[in-house]
This record gives sequence, structure tokens and C-alpha cells, in this order.
Amino acid sequence: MKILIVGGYGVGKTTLVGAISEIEPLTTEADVTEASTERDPIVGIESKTTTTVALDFGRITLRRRWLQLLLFGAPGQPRFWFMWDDLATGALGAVVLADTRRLADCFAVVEYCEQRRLPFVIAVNEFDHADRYLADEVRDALGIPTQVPVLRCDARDPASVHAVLVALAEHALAVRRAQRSPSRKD
Amino acid sequence: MQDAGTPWDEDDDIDRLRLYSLTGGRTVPTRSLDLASLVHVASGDPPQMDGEHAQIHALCRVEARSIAELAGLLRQPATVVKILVCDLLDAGALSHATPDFESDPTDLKLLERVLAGLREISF
Repeated sequence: MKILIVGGYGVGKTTLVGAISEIEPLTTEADVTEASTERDPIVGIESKTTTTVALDFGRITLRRRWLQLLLFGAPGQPRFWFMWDDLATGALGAVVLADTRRLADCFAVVEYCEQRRLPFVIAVNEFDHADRYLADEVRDALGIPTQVPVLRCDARDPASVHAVLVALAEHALAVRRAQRSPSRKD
Repeated sequence: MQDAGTPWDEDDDIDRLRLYSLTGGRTVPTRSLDLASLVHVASGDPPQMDGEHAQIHALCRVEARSIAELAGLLRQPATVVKILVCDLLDAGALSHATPDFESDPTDLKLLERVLAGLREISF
């Protein structure tokens, strides 16, 4: 089952995947077909271009459960939205990795997850010298509801990353249970 | 090592040509595979293989591997690996492991398994 690790450039996605993956982290070149929003002025049709994006890849095998958790570190810039659809299909959820110095980098990913109703948690990667925001301040800055967990995380520390993944799995279960409740149609 | 998100070098046409020579010029896999699709070796005698096909088969003999992992290990684009894996599936040399990518992320039983499994491991 897929778990996405999404965040801005240089926020620590590669480090996070490497900290918890049981295999040496890999780079996977994923070809994605991008339906261009621009219409070709001459032909008058939408052109398609193929872009290749490098993803960080790592894995955690839950042997007793016959499951492989596949970790995909993906870039969080809005121009990669077209790619997230492929990745988000069948995914458990997303870890949005945030740097408090550049919280704006998370806006696009958060908006995407909310639109797609993909469960997500915010993991604030604690850089040295970064402002130690409180969870509520991060929550306010990103405009996310109180149900969405906001956690501190050290992307270098396996135990810290593990705690984030457990929080994501708990949250995903809670979200999906709520969606199943009879008061909601979906 | 590239950072995630760095576009592939557009000028690498020679490399691209070499890649597609691996697939006999095919650019579309015969089956619908996802980066998370898991495959392992099928029982029975493996057919004659060489090159990347043999590499993939050998890797999947050890354990089930995802398309993403095979692509990373072979250092080939995922599309190319999907085509090669389809060849092996069509030849009966590989078979699908648990169809993880088709797993329904709204399936509560499955989510409970994931959570229990994650809680069982410690770092």
C-alpha cells in the first residue's frame, strides 16, 4: 500500500524515506503524461506531453500482516499536481512534510489532499534554528481543521518517522470510519 | 543522484533510444500496472530470458517487488519496467503478488491491518 511523503524542495523527504526504509532508498523515474492545459493554437487541440519525475522510493514490509508499505517521496510544488493523481490512487494517505520557515510550500499539497479527500498529517521537520512553532500556529497558518494531526518530526530519526506513520495510519482509519458512518453518503 | 522532482535530462535522446530498444520500441504496457503493483516469480520452470528480463526475474525470486522498486534497482524508467514485467507476466514467468495497488484505501479491515502492523515494529 502506498504512502506519500510530500513537501517542498529540500524539506527532507529523501532523508525521511531513508530513515525508515528497510531497503536502501531508490530513485524511481516515473513517466507521467501531462494533459497540457494550453490548447495548441494551430491545431486547436490539447496537446499531451510526457514528463519524467524522480521519486524517492523506500519500503517497509509488515511481514506478519502480508503487506508492503511503499513510501513515495514526491515533490510538492503545484506544477506536479498532475502526477499526484497517479500516486494518490490507492494510497493510504500523505505525510505533508513542512518546514516552518517555508510553510507556504505546503499550501498546494494541503489543498490537493483536502480536495481529493486523501487523509494527511502535517509533520513539521524540526530544523535547527527554525522557529519552534506550536502545532496550533502551524494549523492556523495552513488553515487545516483540528482533526488533522500536526506532529513534530526529525526526518533523520527512524523512531520519530515511525511515530508519524503510525499517526497517519490512525488518522486514515478515523477518517474512513467517519466516511462510513450512516450520516454521510460517502 | 538526482533530487526528487528534478526533470530527466531532456537531451538524453541516445539514452532514451537505448531504453526503448529494450522494449522493442513498445511504449505502452499490455496490462494496467501501477508503481505499487507487486510481482513475484510464478511456480514452474522459468522460460529462457536474458538481459533486463532475467534481472527482473532474479530480483523477484527473492521476494515480491513493486514496479517502483524494480525501476529503481534497474535504473530504468517505470514505463519501461512495466513493459518488461508485462512480458514476464504474459510468459507466465511472473505472477501478481497481492494486488496491493488495487487495495481499497477505504477498506477499514485493511487499514486496521496496516495500523496493527506498524505498531508491531519499533525503531
